[in-house]
Amino acid sequence: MDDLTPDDWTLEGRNKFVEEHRDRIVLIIEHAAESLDDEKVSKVFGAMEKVPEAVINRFLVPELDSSKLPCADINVFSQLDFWIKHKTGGRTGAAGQSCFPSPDIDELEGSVDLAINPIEKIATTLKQLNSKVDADLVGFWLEANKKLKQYAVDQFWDSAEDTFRNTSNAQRTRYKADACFRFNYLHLELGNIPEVRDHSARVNYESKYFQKGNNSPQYVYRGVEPESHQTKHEIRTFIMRLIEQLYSMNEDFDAIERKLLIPTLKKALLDVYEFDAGMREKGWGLLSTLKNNKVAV
Amino acid sequence: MSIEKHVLDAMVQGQDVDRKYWEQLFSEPDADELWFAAIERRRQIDRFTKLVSMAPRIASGLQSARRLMRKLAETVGRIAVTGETDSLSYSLSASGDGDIPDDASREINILWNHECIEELPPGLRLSFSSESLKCWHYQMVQNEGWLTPEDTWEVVAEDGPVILIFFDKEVSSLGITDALATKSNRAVLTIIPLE
Repeated sequence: MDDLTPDDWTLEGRNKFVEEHRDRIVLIIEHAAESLDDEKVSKVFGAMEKVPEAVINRFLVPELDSSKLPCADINVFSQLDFWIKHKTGGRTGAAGQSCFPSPDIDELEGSVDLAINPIEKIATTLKQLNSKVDADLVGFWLEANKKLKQYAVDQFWDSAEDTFRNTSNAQRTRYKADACFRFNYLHLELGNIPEVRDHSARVNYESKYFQKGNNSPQYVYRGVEPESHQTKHEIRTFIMRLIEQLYSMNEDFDAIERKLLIPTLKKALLDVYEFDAGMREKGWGLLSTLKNNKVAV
Repeated sequence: MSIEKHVLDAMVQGQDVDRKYWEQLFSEPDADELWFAAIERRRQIDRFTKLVSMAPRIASGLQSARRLMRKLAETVGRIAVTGETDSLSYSLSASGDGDIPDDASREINILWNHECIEELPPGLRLSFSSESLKCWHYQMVQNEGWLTPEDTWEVVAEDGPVILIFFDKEVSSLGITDALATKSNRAVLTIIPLE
C-alpha cells in the first residue's frame, strides 16, 4: 500500500491525492460504512450514499491535522469512528480525549482510590491492556471473565468457584489464562512493586508481553533479533517471580481482585510459558494455594 | 443501548477510546463475542483496502456482488440475514496457528449468503462442498469463467486477487451480472494470495 500513502499533507497535496485516487477512496469508504453501519453513521452523515462525499469533505478541510490521524495511508478512509468524531467536533465519536477528559492512567497508577468503583477500575486496566497487547487477548480476557462481570455489575455474591466451561480447545484455554495474567499484572500494578520493578528481566518481559504484535498466536511481540535462550530463560524466571509475588499477596486481595485472578490460576498458564517440570510443579503449588483460598469479604 | 460498531472498530485497533466505552463493553452480556466480531470486521475492512490497492476493478466487482446479495436479502426475505460474524471465514481459518503447509488442500463448506475476503498461501488447493451448490464463477484481473461443483481452485500468486461466487441455481449460461440478478442463494469468497 506504499504507493497509496499521501506524502504531501497540505491542502493542495490532499486535493491531489483525492483527485488521483477518488474511485479507490470511494470504494473504501462505502465498504467501511456498510460494514460498520449503525444509527450513528446515518445520523452523522445522512443516507449511506452520502457517506463517501462527507468523509472526503472532512479529509479536505484546511485545518486537518495529519498527526492526529489513526493511520497515514489510504486505509485512513475506512476509519469511520475518526471521521464521525471529526465531523461532530468530538461530540459523538469515541476515540480521542478532546471531548471526554478521562483520568490519566499514569495518575491512577500507584494510587489506591477507594472512591473509584470496581467497574471503573477494571475498565481503566482493560483500556490500558488494550493499548499494549493484541486485540485477541482482550477478547480472551472478556471470555474468561464473563462470570466476574455478572458479579461486578450486579454486586451479587457468588462462590469463587471456577466454573467456566472449558469447551474450547486447549490452546484457547492457554491464551485466556495468559490474557488474564497480563491483565492482573497491570491491574495489580505488579510492575511498581520494588522487587519486581528492579528485576533485571522486567524490561524484556514487558517488551515481549506488553507491545502489540500482529494479533496472531503466540500473541507476543517479536523484535528484530530472535530471542536468545538466555533471554527466554530470564523472562521465564521473571514470570515465576510474579507468581511468587501473587502468592505473597494472597491475604491482601479483595473479593473482586480474587475473582479477577481466578481465570489465571490454571495449569494452562504454566503450559503457555513452557516451564520445565520442576518449575511447573513449583508454579502449580503456588497457583493452587491461591486458587483454594476461599476469601472472606 | 449496545455499543456502536464504529466505536468497537476504534477499540479493536488499539485506538484511544474514552473509558466509559470500556465500562459499557464490560457490562455487555456477550462482550467477548462483540469483541471478536469487531476484530473480524476490521480484518475484513483492512483486506478490502488491500484489495482496492491491488486491483480496484476486482474490488469494485466485489462491492457490486455484496450489494446485490444484501438487496436480495432485503427484498426476497427468504435469504437469512447475514450474522455479525462470518462463518465462511471462520471455517477457512479454523486450523490452528495459520501454519499452512504448501500444497495443502482444504475443503470449504459453503455457507449461503456469506461473504469474506481471505489471504491464502499460493499452492493451496481449495475444494468446495455444499449439497445445493450448482455452479460457481471466478473473476480475476485477466480472466473469468464458470466452474462446476467438482472443480477445485488453486491459489496462484500470479493470478492476483480473485473473486469466487457460488450459486445454488444453475445460472452458468448467464453472464455474471445477470446471474447475480437472479433470485438465487450465493456466497462470495475473495482470495488475496499471500506474498
